Amino acid sequence: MKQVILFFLIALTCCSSSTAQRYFTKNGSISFFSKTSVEDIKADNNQVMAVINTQNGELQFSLLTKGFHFKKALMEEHFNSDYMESDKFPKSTFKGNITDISKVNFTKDGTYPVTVSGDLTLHGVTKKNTASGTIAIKSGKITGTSKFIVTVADYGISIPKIYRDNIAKTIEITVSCNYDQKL
Amino acid sequence: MNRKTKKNIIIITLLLLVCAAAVVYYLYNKKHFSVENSEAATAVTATALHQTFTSDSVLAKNKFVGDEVNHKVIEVNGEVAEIKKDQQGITIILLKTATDDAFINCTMEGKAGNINTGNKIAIKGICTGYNFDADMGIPGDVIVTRCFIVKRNQ
Repeated sequence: MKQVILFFLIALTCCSSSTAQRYFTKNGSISFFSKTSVEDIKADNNQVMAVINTQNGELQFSLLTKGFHFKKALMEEHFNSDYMESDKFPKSTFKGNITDISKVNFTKDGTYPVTVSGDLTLHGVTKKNTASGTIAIKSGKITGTSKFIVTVADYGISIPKIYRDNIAKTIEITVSCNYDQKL
Repeated sequence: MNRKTKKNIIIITLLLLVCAAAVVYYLYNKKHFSVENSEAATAVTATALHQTFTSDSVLAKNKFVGDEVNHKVIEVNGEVAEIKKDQQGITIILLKTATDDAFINCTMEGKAGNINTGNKIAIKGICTGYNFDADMGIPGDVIVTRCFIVKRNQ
């Protein structure tokens, strides 16, 4: 009898540890969009490192600020030198959790709305942020997406007077990551 | 002030304004420099590039990454570990380093052509740094963007 109980205990621990999964990508995408009456500015970074823990909902992102690519060369220069000071602050990160991870059934195809909450670090300033997003499961593949708004001034980024009409005070950030690798 | 002087002042002012507008227009529409036609500032092996970033980030930054205004083009020599597409459908070539699961992550701007896993190649592109975060528990990649293949199957 003892052996049977032991067997079930071992089987149970094996099962629970096999669901403690971490998936990641090193080529996820984050883009941002600034819209004013004068001009629209968009930039993309397709070398985002992101990790998701499907059991406890832990979610982390890291990107190199210099990796944002703009359509216009001058915008890219200004972004790196005047606003993000990318030599001083080379990385931007997010460390947090999907607070309602239990809503996601990782074994069943579907799109699940979720809430993400955690610390966003931009330009050397860390702030608590909450955003809504989705987790999509398709044939076992996990894709996480989110769209949220960041207020530029909150992160100690000041826009010179002459560009106040060109750059929006709030920037829309779009995240899309296919977590195609398993840890 | 006679009429002639006045006229001259107006003409000069207008000319200056036109010049200023032209400069602003030129700067605003300035194109990205061509990586393809740029000479690499330095050449390095994939292993040494990764190792420099993990052992001395300041040295690596000075040697391989440009400043806030100018990007730096570097040439990386290494063995192809994997070829894949990113979410935009752009080709990514991963070059092996001395650390398992840590790569030189090259996003192509030029054509990859006939490249296979295991080939020894040289790639040039813009190095944006080393994307690593100790909290994440995965080996970091050195990121190189807007890449072109310069030598294949060495």
